[in-house]
Amino acid sequence: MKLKRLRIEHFKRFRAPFEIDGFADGLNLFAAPNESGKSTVTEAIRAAFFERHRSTRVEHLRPWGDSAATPTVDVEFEMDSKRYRLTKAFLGKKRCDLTIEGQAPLDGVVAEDHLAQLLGFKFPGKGASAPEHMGIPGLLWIRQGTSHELAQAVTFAADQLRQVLGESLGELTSSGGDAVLQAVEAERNELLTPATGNPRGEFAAALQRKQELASTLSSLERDIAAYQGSVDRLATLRNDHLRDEQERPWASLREQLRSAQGRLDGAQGLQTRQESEQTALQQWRMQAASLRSELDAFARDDAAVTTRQKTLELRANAESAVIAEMQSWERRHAEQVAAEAQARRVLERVRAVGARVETSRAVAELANTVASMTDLLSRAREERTRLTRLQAEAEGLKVSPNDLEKILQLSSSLREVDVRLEAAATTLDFDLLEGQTLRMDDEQVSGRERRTVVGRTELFIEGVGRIAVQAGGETIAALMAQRESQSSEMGAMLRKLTVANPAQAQERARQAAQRLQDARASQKVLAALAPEGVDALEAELASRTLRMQEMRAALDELPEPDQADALLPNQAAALAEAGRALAALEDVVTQLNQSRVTAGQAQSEHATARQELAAAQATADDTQRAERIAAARQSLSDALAREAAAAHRLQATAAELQNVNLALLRQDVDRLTRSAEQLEDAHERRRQDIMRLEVDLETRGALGLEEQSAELRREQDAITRRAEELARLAAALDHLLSLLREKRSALARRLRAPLQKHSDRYLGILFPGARMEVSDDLSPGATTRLGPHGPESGEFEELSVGTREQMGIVARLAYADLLQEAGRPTLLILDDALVNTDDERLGQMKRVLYDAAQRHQVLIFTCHPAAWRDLGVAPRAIGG
Amino acid sequence: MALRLLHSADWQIGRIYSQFEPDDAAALFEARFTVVERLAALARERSADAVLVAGDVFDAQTVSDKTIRRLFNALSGYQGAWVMLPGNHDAALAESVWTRAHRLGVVSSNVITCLEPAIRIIGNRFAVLPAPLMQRHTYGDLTEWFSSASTPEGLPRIGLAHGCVQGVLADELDSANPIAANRAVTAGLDYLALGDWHGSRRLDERTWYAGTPETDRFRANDSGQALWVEVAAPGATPEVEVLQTGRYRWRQVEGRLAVSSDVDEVTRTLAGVGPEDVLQLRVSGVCDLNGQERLRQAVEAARARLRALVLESQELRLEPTDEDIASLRADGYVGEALAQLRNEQTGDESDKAREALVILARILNGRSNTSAAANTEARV
Repeated sequence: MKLKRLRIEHFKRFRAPFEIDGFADGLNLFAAPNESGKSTVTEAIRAAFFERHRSTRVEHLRPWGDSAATPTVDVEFEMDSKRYRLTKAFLGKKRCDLTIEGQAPLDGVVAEDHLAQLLGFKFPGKGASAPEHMGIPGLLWIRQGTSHELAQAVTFAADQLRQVLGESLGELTSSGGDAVLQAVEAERNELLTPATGNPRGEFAAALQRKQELASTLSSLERDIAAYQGSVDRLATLRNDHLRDEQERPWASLREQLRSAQGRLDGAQGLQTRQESEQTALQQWRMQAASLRSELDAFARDDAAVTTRQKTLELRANAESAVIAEMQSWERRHAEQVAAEAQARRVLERVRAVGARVETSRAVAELANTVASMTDLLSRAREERTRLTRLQAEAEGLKVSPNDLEKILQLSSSLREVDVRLEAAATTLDFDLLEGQTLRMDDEQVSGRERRTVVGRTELFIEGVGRIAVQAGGETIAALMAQRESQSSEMGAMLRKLTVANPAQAQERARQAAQRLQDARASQKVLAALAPEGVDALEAELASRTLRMQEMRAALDELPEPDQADALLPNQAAALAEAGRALAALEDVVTQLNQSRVTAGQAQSEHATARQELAAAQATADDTQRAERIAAARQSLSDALAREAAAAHRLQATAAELQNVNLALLRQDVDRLTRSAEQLEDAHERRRQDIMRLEVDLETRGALGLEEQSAELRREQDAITRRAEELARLAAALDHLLSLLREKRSALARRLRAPLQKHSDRYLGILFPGARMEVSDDLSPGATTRLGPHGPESGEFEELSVGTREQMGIVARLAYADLLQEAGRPTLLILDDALVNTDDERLGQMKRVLYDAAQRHQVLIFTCHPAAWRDLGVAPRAIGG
Repeated sequence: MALRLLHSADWQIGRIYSQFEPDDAAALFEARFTVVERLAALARERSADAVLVAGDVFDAQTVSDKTIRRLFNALSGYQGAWVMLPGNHDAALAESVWTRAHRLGVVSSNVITCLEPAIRIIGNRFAVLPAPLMQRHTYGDLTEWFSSASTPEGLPRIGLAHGCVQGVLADELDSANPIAANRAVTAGLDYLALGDWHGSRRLDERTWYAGTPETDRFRANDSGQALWVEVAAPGATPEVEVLQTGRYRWRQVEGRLAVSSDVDEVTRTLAGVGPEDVLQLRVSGVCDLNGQERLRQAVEAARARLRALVLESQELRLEPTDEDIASLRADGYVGEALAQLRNEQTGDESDKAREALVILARILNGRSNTSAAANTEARV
């Protein structure tokens, strides 16, 4: 397909008719700045083909602000060596005319559908055309900024591409083969897991159930076998039981047992006799021993009397010796008591003498102390009186330093005012005649006098009259007032201090200071005399005085001194003597007590020995004793005779017993008893076993084990059949699925081959040595290029936008080649399609495009004419 | 008056048919009770002196209590004597289905269970010499004692045994429970009622197998019957009449398919079956897709009509014709897959290939139907 001429009227930017004529068969480069109508041209081409002329959804095609216009596109093109002219008017006077060289013209929807069929696109059911309807032109006519988005465009064109590829390969495509494949896959995945092919769903359940049944059945079969075993055992037991019931094998054993028992009983009688004879012999022996010991006791009684007499003598001698020793200790005790009393008396006297001397000395010392303290106290009292006086005087004379200063200040100030007054005052010099007087105010003036006047002063001269003198100067009055106020203040101050003048005030202050100084001196004296105060001194004196009186009273209590005192030893010696005397006394007392105890013991032992002798004598003197001794002697000889007889009998029995083997007889009885019991027990056990087995079999029989197992086996057979059926089905489905996949994959490979060929050709120009896989859906897949580190592989979607843009165009060119080979019309429109491409790649892309333009008409719209200068065609302008 | 006996055997009560679907198996299980009721009705109608059951009354020793009760309930239609003999399935062991039945108290007084080899006089009309199996398998002839046993004068001697008559049934030569072939003669029996063989069978004029009254396997000739035996007087030759008692007809149908009309024959056979039929259909040979589908539909239709059906089609090979393939309209790679499956029909895994082919055909058929219904829809 080759565009020849395009005319636009009332179309968006082009209100006035606009025409492009003389499209080249190969490359056509339209260069124009932005907003100059490039996109309007491409949109007009799209509208002419893709939009129904009757569509109401194309308002946007109208020029702006012209709601009555009829956008019209008139396009002439060549296809299959035939000239086509398509005129389409929208919105206003809707119209579609198609003239085809050598054919009857078409119009309206028929014309539109004819073109759609030829070019490979669809019209929407209603509304404006969308990318999914645009098919092959949608793929080859690249809108601004979409050259890198390829997958969707390929999807929308897939049907047509498949058709084309299919045609080129003969009738190999399957009508809805994928739907069949999906159906098979779905059925297969119901029975097998998609990934591992393990049974699932009903198949897995059937296998599971089969296994469960097998295990249940085998356990049931074990039960049945056990049951049958029990039945057999029951039969055996019953037979054995019946046989024993009839034969009674234990009966003969019981008979043997009876005779063995008889023999044993006889032998056991002999042994009993031996035992009783043994007992009798033992008894006689004990009887004889007892009698012998009785006779021994009688002999011992006689010996005892002699022994006791000797003992008594020994005890009496011992007693008298001990008493003599005790008496000697008593004497020595009396002597030592007297000596100790004497030593104690001497010690007391020595102590009394010492006490008197000591007390007298203390009394004398105390008298001295009391005298000196009394003197000190009287002095302290005087000094305290003086201090009190001085403090009172000082208080009376006290002048506040502020007051004093104030007074002195006022006095000085008054003097100054007076001087100034004097200076300012009018001086009146009187030099009166003798005897003449005059009165100045109320004062008599006579002789030579000088007065100063500061105020209005009247001079009254008798007989003359009054002369009023008025002191001049303005300051007089002020000074007068100042003096008046200051002197009144001074007066008040002096009155407060009750002094006549400032000098008196000063004197009073000085006196007050003198008194204070005297008082401080007096205080120091008092502190020296009574550091803790006069009252404390008084108290201590009183206490000392009392103590002295007490000491004196104590001295009076002590004994009068004696002449013999001089002969007394000193106190230490006396004390030592008294101690020695006491220790000696204590020794004697201890010895005395000990000898007393010894004497008591000796006396008591003596008494005991006497009593013992008396008792022994009494026993020996008993009158019946002799009879008893005689009787005992008789009994003894009797017992000895009997003992000998018993020993003889025993010997005879033992000899008899030795001939009979008792142990063997016992073993016989034991053996026979056990045997009989075992047989009887076994018989009884068997009877119980039979009973238990019967009960057990009754219980188990009611379970209907074989019926159960038959029923289970039926289910097992059924489920086995089902599982086998499903296994067959699953295997068949699996086989079918892999077969279909294999065939489909082989077909896809065959289908892709031509596309791959064209793609390799263009890619070789762009990236020498590169290769792009074509995936099953015919969209570009993994791309392998030679990178700095060897071949690099990546999915199309992972490439950079620029690279994808270039690859997108390469892929589209490959599709175009393919379509052309299948005799389909091709037209490539690139609207600013390589904006993300760098100069170097753009250079390669120009080679690619130039190559493609040898076979296809290519329209390139750009706003960068400089970049395309070396494309080999002159750029054409649009608009104006 | 002649002695009139109804001779039956091998009731196999409690048998479960594992080769069938649950409901069919249940119905066949039930049929064994109903045939006993039918026997009772026959005995009553014909005023039998006794019913002889020659062993294998029960299929197993440990059937459920319910089954035992049901069997004895089924006897209630005939109040005369039921003389029952334990067989190899229900031998009179120390503990057996018989002892259980007695314990359950379901054995009424007119039922004589011959658990020991001892002569029984039934209603003072005849003497029974029973040879009960008392072990699961016996290798000696249990009927031997018949020859030396004496019975009251003037009463017919009727032997009752379960086992394999020696030298007659060639294929069971070395089986257990042997019975001497001339026992009736050597023991002076008027009639020897036998059980174990599931078809009715005459061995000599006095020795008969009754067969099972309700067929229970496909390969059993003359089963589903009972014998009416009349003995005019001791020593007289008994008159034996074969009575039909079974309800279900067990049949085996072999279909060897080679051409399309063979399928028609099989479908005709299937069309003729009724609710009393228990059918085993074994098809083999070669068949095209169309035939396979017709066969399938015929089988499904028959399955709904007859009592039970077992289909064995492992030997059937599927060979789609070119028309089959064309009608499937499989083009593109699906067509290639179809072609390969056809080739695999003769290979090692032909079963799998056949199954796969059937599935593919089914899916394609389904698709062509739906796409025909919706061919106005746009192709995607």
